[in-house]
Amino acid sequence: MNRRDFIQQATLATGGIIVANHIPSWAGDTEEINLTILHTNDMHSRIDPFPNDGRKYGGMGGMARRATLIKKIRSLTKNVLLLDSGDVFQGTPYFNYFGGELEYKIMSQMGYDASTLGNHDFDNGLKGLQQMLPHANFPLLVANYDFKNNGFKDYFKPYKIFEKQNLKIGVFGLGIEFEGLVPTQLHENTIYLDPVEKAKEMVYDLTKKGCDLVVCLSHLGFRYDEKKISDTILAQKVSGIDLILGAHTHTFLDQPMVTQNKEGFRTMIAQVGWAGIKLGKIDITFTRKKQEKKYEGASIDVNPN
Amino acid sequence: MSILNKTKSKQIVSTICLLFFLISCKNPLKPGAYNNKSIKIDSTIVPDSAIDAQIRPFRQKLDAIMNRQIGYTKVAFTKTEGESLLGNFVADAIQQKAQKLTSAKVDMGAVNNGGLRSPLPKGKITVGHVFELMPFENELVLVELSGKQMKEYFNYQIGKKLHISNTKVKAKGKYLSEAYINGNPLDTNQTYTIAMSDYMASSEPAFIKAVKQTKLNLKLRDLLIQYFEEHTALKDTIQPTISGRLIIE
Repeated sequence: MNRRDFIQQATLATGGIIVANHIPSWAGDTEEINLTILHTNDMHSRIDPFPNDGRKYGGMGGMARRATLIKKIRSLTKNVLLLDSGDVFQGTPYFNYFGGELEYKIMSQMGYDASTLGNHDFDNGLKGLQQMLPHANFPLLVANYDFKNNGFKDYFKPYKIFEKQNLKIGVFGLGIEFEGLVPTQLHENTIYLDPVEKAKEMVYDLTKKGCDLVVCLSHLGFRYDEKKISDTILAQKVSGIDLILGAHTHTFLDQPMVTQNKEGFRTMIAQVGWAGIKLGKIDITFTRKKQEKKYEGASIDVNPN
Repeated sequence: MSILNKTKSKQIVSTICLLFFLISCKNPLKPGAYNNKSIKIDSTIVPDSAIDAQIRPFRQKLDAIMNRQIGYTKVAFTKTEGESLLGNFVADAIQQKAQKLTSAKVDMGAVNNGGLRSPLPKGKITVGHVFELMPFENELVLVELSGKQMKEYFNYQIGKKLHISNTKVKAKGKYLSEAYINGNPLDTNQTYTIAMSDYMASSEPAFIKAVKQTKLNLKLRDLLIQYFEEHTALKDTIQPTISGRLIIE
């Protein structure tokens, strides 16, 4: 099955809301670039599928299966970004006994491009995390943690720009506030900075550097009853983030949510639950000739064989 | 740069486009068609053999430790809304095990709902099940609270899904209306000893960090493993019940 058929079938299977807006095209602008963003969040050391013992999600997930699926998608499409939004660590004995080594090794083999820091990635302290970094060949991006007090600054980056064909994709990370989640002895006086201000800075910098798409790996959480900062509030307060790949609240969004803020900016927010039960997949077609918006959404089963 | 926006900034974008067009004879790339979905990872997907081979030696090491049976349950202990078998089981175990380690009277065991990471199945219980339930390295702590602080503590925890033992708490809406500990009404002149995790004892409400605390050098996970093993040795099956420990009216 080629990629076009694959997408067409998916479209037929799910049905979709199609909103098309056309802006007059100019002659000669027929170039089209496809980008596929694959994403996970809160995998919580679920290397093996959940045991099939009658529990919720029994038999689901598994990193070796995810690797097969990612390989299949890579064989069908040229430009793939594979991203994660944190809490790779903690939840199974794989973490208690091996400290995250296997999680990072397998993610590296799958070709992850970046992840961010979740609160549980601090569970063995910054020192424990640092010891695992040689196993990760992808960067951990976080823009709103300041490590100047503890000497861990060089291990993390605020953002990274990825180039795919003629596209520049700017990816930055945001971490959650430590209070009540990460004790001081584990984060070693890392300073939490306002995610809204940092996100504005990131949007400015990445746009200035010519990014065609700005993506935020967020561990803030999807939405809260309180006024606590979340992905939905971030999208309201900051214009310029095209896509927020969320985490922390273990929210299963079968279809990413699109919000529009007061300035008229629209941000897409996606999150795929936890434990690697699902792989998020967002296909974007970039074109020079027109602007067309088409949202497809649903959770579908894909048998890659 | 913007994927989905155009209405408000259309004019500016058009101007920039035109400028860009004049300079480069090309419009900027704009994200257009979207196709979003999440894909379920289930048994229809064959595991990647190379990754699986990499996991295998790690899995074998763990299986040797984790597959050891430590106990047995007649029903699954699950987390439900409000009081649950899983929550009551852990709160009971915390109180009873703490009581064996101290000469002071332990009045209550407490555990936060978020700290219970996985249910226990019906039937054979292994070390691995307890690791999934309690993956954190949290340790057991005794916390001393005055009767007044107990009231404040309950008021703070109402609606936050705290699991407790040896206690009955009633709340009207957001506020505590009645509390019984050891079968007696909460006495504001008395001091109470609560067993909980060091995580809970160092988080909220803020005053808890400042009260007298005693570490008992026992991980909660090991506490639960021992609790199962001790019951198994006595040929006793652990059977928590729902007994109206927390009633919110």
